[in-house]
Amino acid sequence: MVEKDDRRVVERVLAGSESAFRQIVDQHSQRIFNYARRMTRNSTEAEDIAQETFIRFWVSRDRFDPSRVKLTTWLHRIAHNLCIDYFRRRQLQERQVPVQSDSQDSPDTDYELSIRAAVVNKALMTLPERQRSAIVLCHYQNFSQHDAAQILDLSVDALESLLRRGRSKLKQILAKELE
Amino acid sequence: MNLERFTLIVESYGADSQQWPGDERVEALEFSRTSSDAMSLLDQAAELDQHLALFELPNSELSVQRIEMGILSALKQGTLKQGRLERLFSLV
Repeated sequence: MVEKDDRRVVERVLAGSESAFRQIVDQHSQRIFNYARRMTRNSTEAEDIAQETFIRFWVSRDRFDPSRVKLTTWLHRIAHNLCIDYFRRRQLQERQVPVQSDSQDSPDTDYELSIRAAVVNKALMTLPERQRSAIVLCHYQNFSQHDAAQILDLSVDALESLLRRGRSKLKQILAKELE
Repeated sequence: MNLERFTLIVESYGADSQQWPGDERVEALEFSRTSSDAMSLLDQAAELDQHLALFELPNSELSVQRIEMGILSALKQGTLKQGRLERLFSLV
């Protein structure tokens, strides 16, 4: 399951090599950050989630079985669970202290998006988390349906259903917003 | 391949055949060349794909540097011993 080039590095990480772990951080941090950023639309939270992903991977490396799952799939699975934790925490906070709608998403301020891109960005954020995850993993992170299903702990059929419903909803929103 | 399955593939994965399930890609591509319904579905899906492509992320070099420095710093402080933090986390 481990990509050929990763195999030796993973073996060294599992044996406790910090230098091999740093190599994995170096190779995968951008991709994990991008996933968290597309999910949260918040750079600061995405940085924290990405950092936490690698820390969790390292401290619980004995749980990673490279014969069953690819390293990048495993890392995305940890990041995905952290994103879900983030959304739950945020929902709880919003219940306790109602947040003004403008600041609800804490969107990146450094985004220089065109109006159309901003509409797409906002439309993605209105999707239920699982539909958004499915689209981000397949469309932006370029995972195969098998790997994306593994990250989300779903069957491929269930993943397809999420993707189809997510894309259909996006289409409806964008047709209304971009006409 | 039939129109029902082709519709499901395109509605789920979009118009880019590289995103389609590998074991059905060739058949689906062949089907798309022979069916006008399939071509119409591809056009509709391509429009959404183009919209999705607008959501580009800006440069994040500094963020990635901060992530890597944070992890390095934790390693240097020796706080990342295996098993030590596991109790604090609900792990995957």
